[in-house]
Amino acid sequence: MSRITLKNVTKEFVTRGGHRVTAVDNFNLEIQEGECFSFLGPSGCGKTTTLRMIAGFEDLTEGEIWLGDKPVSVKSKNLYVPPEERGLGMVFQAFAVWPHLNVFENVAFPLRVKKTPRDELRERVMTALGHTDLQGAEKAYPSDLSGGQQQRIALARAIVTNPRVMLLDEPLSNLDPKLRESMRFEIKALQKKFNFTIIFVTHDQSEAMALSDRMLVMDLGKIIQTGTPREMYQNPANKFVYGFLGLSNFLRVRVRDGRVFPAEGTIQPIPFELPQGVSDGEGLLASRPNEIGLSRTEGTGYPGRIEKRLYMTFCIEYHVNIAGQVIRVHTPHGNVLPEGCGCFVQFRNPRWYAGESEQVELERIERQVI
Amino acid sequence: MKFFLTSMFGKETSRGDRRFGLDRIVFLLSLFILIVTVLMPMLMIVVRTFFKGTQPDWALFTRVVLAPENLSAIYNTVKIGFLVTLFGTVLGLFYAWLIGRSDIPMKGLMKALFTIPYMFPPFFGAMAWSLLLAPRSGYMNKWFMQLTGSTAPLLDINSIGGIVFVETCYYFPFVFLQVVSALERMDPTLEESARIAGAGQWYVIRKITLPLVLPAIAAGAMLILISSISHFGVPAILGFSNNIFTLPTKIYQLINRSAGSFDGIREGAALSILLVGVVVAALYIQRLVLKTGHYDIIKGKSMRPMLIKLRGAKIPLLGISLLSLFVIVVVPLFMIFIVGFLKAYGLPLTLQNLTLRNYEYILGQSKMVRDSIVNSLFLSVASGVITMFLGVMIAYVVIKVKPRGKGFLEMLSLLPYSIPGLVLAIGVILVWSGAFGINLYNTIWIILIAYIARYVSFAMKSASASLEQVHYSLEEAARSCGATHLESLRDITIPLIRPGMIAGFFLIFLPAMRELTTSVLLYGPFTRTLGVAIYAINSEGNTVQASALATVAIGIIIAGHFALRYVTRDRKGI
Amino acid sequence: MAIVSMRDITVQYGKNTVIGGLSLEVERGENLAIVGPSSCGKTTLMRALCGFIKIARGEILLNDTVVSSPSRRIMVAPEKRNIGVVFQDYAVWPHFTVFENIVYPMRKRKVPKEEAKERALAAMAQVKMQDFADRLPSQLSGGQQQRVALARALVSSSELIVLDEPITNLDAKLREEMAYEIRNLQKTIGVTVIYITHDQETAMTISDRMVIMDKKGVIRQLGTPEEIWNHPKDRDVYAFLGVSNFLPLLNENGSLHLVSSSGKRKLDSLGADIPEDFGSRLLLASRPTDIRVSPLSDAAAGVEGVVERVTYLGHQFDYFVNVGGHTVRVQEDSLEAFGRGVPAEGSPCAVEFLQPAVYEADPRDPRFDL
Repeated sequence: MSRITLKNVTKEFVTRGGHRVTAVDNFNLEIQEGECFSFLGPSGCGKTTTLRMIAGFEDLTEGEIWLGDKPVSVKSKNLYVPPEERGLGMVFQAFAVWPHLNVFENVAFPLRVKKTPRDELRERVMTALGHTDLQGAEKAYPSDLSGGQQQRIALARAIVTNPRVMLLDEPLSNLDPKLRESMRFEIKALQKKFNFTIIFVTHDQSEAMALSDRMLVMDLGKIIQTGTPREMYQNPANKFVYGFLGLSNFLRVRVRDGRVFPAEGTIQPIPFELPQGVSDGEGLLASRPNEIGLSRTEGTGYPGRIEKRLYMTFCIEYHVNIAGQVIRVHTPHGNVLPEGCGCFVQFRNPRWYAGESEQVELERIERQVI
Repeated sequence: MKFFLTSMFGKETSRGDRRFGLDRIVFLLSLFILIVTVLMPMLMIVVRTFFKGTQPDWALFTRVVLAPENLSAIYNTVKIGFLVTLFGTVLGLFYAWLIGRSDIPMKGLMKALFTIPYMFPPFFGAMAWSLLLAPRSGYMNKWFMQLTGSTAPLLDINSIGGIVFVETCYYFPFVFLQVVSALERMDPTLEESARIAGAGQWYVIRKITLPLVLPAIAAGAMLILISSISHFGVPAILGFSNNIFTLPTKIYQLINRSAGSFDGIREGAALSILLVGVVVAALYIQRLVLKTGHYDIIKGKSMRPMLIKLRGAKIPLLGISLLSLFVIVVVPLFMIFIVGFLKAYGLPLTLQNLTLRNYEYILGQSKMVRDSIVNSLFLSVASGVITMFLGVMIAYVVIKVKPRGKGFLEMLSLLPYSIPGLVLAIGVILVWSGAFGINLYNTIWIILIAYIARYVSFAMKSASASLEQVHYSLEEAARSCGATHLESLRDITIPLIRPGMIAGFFLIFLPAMRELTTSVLLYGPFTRTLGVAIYAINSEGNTVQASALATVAIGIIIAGHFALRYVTRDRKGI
Repeated sequence: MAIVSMRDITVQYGKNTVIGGLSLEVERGENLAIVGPSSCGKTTLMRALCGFIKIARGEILLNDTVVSSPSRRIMVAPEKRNIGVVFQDYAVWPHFTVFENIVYPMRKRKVPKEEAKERALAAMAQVKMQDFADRLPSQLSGGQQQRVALARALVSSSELIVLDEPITNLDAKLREEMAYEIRNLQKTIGVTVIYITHDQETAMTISDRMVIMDKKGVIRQLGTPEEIWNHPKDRDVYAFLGVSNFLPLLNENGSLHLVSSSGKRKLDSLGADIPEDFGSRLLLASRPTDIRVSPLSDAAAGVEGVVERVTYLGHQFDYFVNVGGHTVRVQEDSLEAFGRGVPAEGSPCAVEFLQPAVYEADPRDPRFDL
């Protein structure tokens, strides 16, 4: 069984300045066997701390962690299984490949610890090297190889013991963008081949979306939402998740008599069906730049003016002024509207959210530095 | 000449700067100074050893090297060097681990205290332990003999064992500091990834941590070895009475005995070559050990490494550490301090036997002592200032100007680092005693020249570190804002390296103040240094006065260290 | 009148020719981006312009005055060229406060104290750093340091400023903000800006004209972003701008064939005219957003292929489609994809190229050797 369970896991610590910080707050999660699961969130949200607790590098302030049927960290019983006994594979952000050992010895290390007999060891190492496209590099030293190759050494070393669970801590952020994409596919292919469970920690939302079967978004130590990438993207739980998962516009709006108006203009209501239970007051209308239609024809949408037009690689970006607020619209190349002209905007898939206090954003920034 | 210069500067560096005039002058000046202070003394030693006048003479060298008393000195030097390195490394490694990787309490205090022996010259330790364990007069021995009624002392410090013990106490911080620093800078995920791979704590230490700090250990051990081989003070104080000689003390004896005769100096020179040979051999061994240079372990994100939980062993280990600190640091300093107040050496340590008379004498009545303090202050300040400027010049040429031939310049400036102080002294004597028309022997200037040669490596390393932090874009930004080359140096570069320079000054001032090994061959009747004065007074048997003067020296050193801390405190933004 | 004129300049490092025979004119008041891969020589070009390095041949003129000319033995020192520079690492002096950093150029030009102070404060306000006058650079974030560098450059020269990869080190959000700010500032003040970067996306959005340099330091195309995007001169420029697909074609006797792993496949039409002087080996160039993938049926238009990989990124789907042994990347807005139906991995499909371009292929192009 390679199911992973976290029950009421909490981690607090005291910073150098003497403040008490709750890095992880009442984290509850069950990850199924064979899933590729991502923890997504901004820097300082607690995702790496949670991963390190699963690995056994940090103890818990409260709660329990189980690997399959085995409890590995239980605060109430002071039970703590050290990392070397948890049977996990792990890949670190900076690869953590040992510079004084060559590629073969790096990958062979976990087997040598277990005193694996020589022939079996050699076979398993060579197989792992084959899976990660490192055949021929056995005698090289990490310092002779590129970042991408070092990453593969770390991967090979993690899979050589056939772990049931793999932990990946921002493994691709130190690679350049093109390499990141190909490594993503390699990791996914390895998972399909070996069928282990992956927990993947990242701050890059496209990475999480591309790789995961399921994922969660964390903020300030708490899980905000869990689900498949599609569920999360199409139905974000709050403004933070919406904004984190893709480019977004947040139009400040006011609700009056069940109708939605831009915060500073009362001329025309925006055609939008409010969800149940929203009362009069202020809020945000969220929309994606590529889900907004633009035209010059009268009556085809909400009036606005094009303030700026920018050529981007995959689209044209317009900055459109609607009742004093500027939103971004992406349209395909080809249909070009001039700067300064009036236009009409159709929101194809808008969503309603309550606003977020300033306090929250300040706290996020503070946590990044800790 | 013009061709030579244009070929040096005609080539475009990758930055293609065109400030020919200033850079050319600085390069030539640095080269000239280094050749005169460093290269020529070395060459003269070789020349004078193997040539009598203008004719080759191998006889002297072979005679000196094969003389039995010299062979025994060589043997002692190597034996002591080896033992001190062994014990010093083990001790340094043990404490580095305790402080860098365990959860022992009071780390800050212990780390600070373990660096104290680093501050004092080892021969103070020799003096102090001599006070305690001299075979008949040492306080501890006397107490032991009284207690047990035996006629044999508990321990005789005037032995090879005694020399090894004292040197170990003062040299182990070399390894300690290097390893602690390496452990602190090491990326903790290197050890964590080993744990996840199934390795327990001790396996990780054996297979991962230890190999990765090996360069630091080797660097520290090499420092210990070279320092011990080149060292004069401890074997001088503890070895002479039992005719135990090492190469440095033998060289000293040869030159002293010959009372400045040319043949005596030639013999000293011959032995010096041997001494340098031993050092070079040691360096070669180090290179062999560190051949596989795959050691990039500096970490990025700041994470705390996993500490070894000592559990039951915590209290005993804490006890051992504090005890050794007591023995290594507190006891010697206390002895020197107390004995300085005694009426006469050998008297029991009771209040009625204490007096201020010794201080009155050395500070009030003895002109020799006052002169030596003034001499040392002058020499330390002058050599500090001069070598720092020299170091900045050389570093500037090597790092910023990068002409062809910078390798040679760099090598010359780092050479003195591995040359024993005594050897440098002999070389300086050979050059500046009239051989080229200038005779500075027995003046303070010859000592100054020797100091400059001795410390230029420190200065160069310190200046390089500072200068490298001043990225060239900072200077170019000034140029693009309208500053001329000179203005950009004045407004940007110099203010940024100034703190490093001041720290570097102290890094030279402090060792120079307490220095003995080099000045012991160069001093004349009126040009004693503080170290020489203490040594001489001690050798004459005036133990209490020597202790008092040593205490004064310790005071100056401590004051100097506080000044250094003040100057290098974390200031705004730099 | 051109503010900068580079005529046939050559720059060498030792024996290497980094730039050979390059000519370029920069118009007064324009925002010119010099774009190219890393170590293509663009930074070298800038350093030659600013006077930090010598040129081996040619001439550089500023405002019609010769400033670099080996043949005339003229080399005007950097401090006399009146060019403001923002360096890649900002080069903000750590021992000066923000105010002192910005006022320095005026000190050097002997501007009277009161006037210098006023102008410095005005510059700080322009980059929104007026509240930070007494701070030291170590107390500022990367983005703030960059603003200080920008203000300093603006004060240093009201005519021409050069920015060397100034926003590469910032994170994506900050990068966008700074790019817009720089453009706004430039339009307001009227200063000429030369912007050096490898980020072709940013260059496209903020520049008036772009210069595309290749690995060897040769200028491949010069024009407005619109011109370059719509009419890339050759296949290398096309490939440099964003993501591109190239399919090998054979032009024989007036009919076109795709070179595929199963032999030659006749193509019905292309939707693009082929110039008469083109040879027989051609490349069909297309953008991922200009390709439509539909389920394979008799009625479907386009070339036959197999969908190999489907990746969901939230706002879009990425498809890797195998067309005759070549991999074609396709992007589709997720809203549209859900509307039309997301293809399954492994399913056969029809691939339509909506706006292809045709270029001559390199004779040694391995794509033809299937």
